[in-house]
Amino acid sequence: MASWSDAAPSLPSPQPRSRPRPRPRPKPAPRRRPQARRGVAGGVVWIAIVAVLLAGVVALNVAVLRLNVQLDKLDTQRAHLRAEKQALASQLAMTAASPRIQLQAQKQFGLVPANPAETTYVRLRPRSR
Amino acid sequence: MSAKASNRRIRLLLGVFVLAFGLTFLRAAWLQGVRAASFGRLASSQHSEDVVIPAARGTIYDRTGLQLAIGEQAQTVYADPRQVTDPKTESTTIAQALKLDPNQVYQELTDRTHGFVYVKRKADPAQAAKLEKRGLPGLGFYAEERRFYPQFSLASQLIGYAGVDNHGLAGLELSLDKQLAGRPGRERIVKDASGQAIDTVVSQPERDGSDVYLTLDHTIQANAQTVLRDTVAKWHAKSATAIVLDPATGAVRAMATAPGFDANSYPQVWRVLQRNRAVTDTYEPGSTFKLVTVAGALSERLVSPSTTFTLPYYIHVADRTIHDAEPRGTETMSVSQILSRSSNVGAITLAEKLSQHRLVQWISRFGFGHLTGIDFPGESPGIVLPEDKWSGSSIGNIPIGQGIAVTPIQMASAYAAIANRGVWVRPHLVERIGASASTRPARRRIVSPWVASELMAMLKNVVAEGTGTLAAVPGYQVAGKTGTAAKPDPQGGYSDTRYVASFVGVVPASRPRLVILVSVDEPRGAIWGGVVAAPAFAEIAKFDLQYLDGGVPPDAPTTATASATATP
Repeated sequence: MASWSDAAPSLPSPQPRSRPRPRPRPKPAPRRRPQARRGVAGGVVWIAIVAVLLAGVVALNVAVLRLNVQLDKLDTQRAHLRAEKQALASQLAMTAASPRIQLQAQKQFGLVPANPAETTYVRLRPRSR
Repeated sequence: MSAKASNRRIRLLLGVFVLAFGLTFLRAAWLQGVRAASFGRLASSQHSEDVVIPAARGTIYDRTGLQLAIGEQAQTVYADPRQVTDPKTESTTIAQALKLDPNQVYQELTDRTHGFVYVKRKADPAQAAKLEKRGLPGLGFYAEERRFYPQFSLASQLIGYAGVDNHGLAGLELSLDKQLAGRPGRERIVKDASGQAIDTVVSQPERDGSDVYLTLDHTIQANAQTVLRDTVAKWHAKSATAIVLDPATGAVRAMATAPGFDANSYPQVWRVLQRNRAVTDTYEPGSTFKLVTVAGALSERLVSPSTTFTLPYYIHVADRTIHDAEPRGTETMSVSQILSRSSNVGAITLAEKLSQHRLVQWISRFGFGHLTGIDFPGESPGIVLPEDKWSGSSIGNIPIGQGIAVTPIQMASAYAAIANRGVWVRPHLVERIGASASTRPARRRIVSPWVASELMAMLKNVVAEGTGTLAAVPGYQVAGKTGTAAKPDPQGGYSDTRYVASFVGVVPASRPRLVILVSVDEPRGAIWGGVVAAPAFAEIAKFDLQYLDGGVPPDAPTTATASATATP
């Protein structure tokens, strides 16, 4: 409020220009004009700062939104990959069962399981010194 | 204008602004304070969606790490009949793509009383993807997990199955449902005006179910199932059951029932085929139960293996006359021979010497009439008459395994206790759940190591020269006992045509690695445990001994073993 009162005398007179000017009054102290300029300049700076901050906030929100959209896409991708992994795990489990492998080996390569009665076990002993 | 007037105008303007801001502030406070909750709810219902994230169901592995039950992604297809524009064309397209009945689909699509109908739950993802590409109006898709059993009929009675809502309905899937199911998560998806997700707020993350590792070995299980299937076919039997047990740890390596079924198509299978008979069903054990009578008499030091008895062909007990299976004259038999020749008269003589009261105690001590505590749902404790319900003839039939009903797992663990130097170990199917360490199963001593070793020697004689010669495995010593029991007749008494043939054995008898029980229900052509079940035992044992740990070294003296000197 104080600044408004101080600045009041510097406002231009609303009287018509045609009227003879009174005797020129002594100009206000020259030191007050730079103060006003500084005030205006300060306001501009503040406006600029606030504008930058607002732009920053908007930019940040846009970035967050983009990231969220990206995250959603990645989530979908993860779900697809998980589904694919599960399908592959199922296939692997089906094919890795040893009875199935044995059956395939018998059919394709003529595997004959060893007869336990004819299996000989070799008992190894450490070499005597 | 004077400075005073200017100031007044400025103050007026200021007042207007203050008033405007004040009103705005009050409105904001009203909207965001007092009405915040209701408007918040309204807003969230318009631009946010609460989603339940299903937890992945844990996988069931065998002891080698092979998946026995696994979760698989499937697509559920639903429809909003009010949005469907051309039900006739759409139903034909859907039915073709998903292999459904077009008439049924048409009925569902034309029922405009509902805003949501399932077209097909857990459909094949490839079929659903093709259908989704058609972009039919009113049709929706969402992913769901489907339980899949990649080994099909392997151990299906044991593993059980999970239903359409992914909850266990039978077997281990049911008993371990809490651990396998995990906990579903929740998240809120914030959407923009076009319905695209712009933010995801996770309120509760999902926790996937724990994986379960079984003691089962799929190779041993598959072989047991094959042998049982062949045995059932050979003897035109009603069903057959086999258990392969590690006597030292109580770990079940195989638990098979024939005929089996594919767990992936459980709704089309009779319930009777889905039962794990090894745990839930009881049978009269017959002569395999004589082990209890002999163990009691030996432990009470009433007899030794070489104690002899003069035994006639038949014996009178109360109002009944019981005779041996094969006609013979009066003979002198040792306790060992009573077991190896499976003499009913001998076993009853031993039981009478033991007394009714002590026999009841020994039956209980072996675990008959009690749950073994195996980690499988629906276990039966068997049927054992309490002592006060015994009739005068009970001492004539219970010692030979009649008038008493046991489960196959009870019988297998009783023989496992003898193989394990007299220590009974609780049989179990689950090795561990998730990352938790496996727990040591309960154990208790039943008989002394001396009695156990004497019983093992007697059981070896059963296979070497008694009723169980067809259970012999070349290169290995086998100890075991045959059992043949007539089934109770619905009209009273026992059937003359329906029998249960069984064999329980231990291999290798010198250093027991496996206890194998085989029981065949209602075989035709032959009824004897030594003829029907013993060869099946030998088949299973032969394979398992060759497979286990790369081959279990033979312990039979007839086996030629080469000695060699190791060279580095």
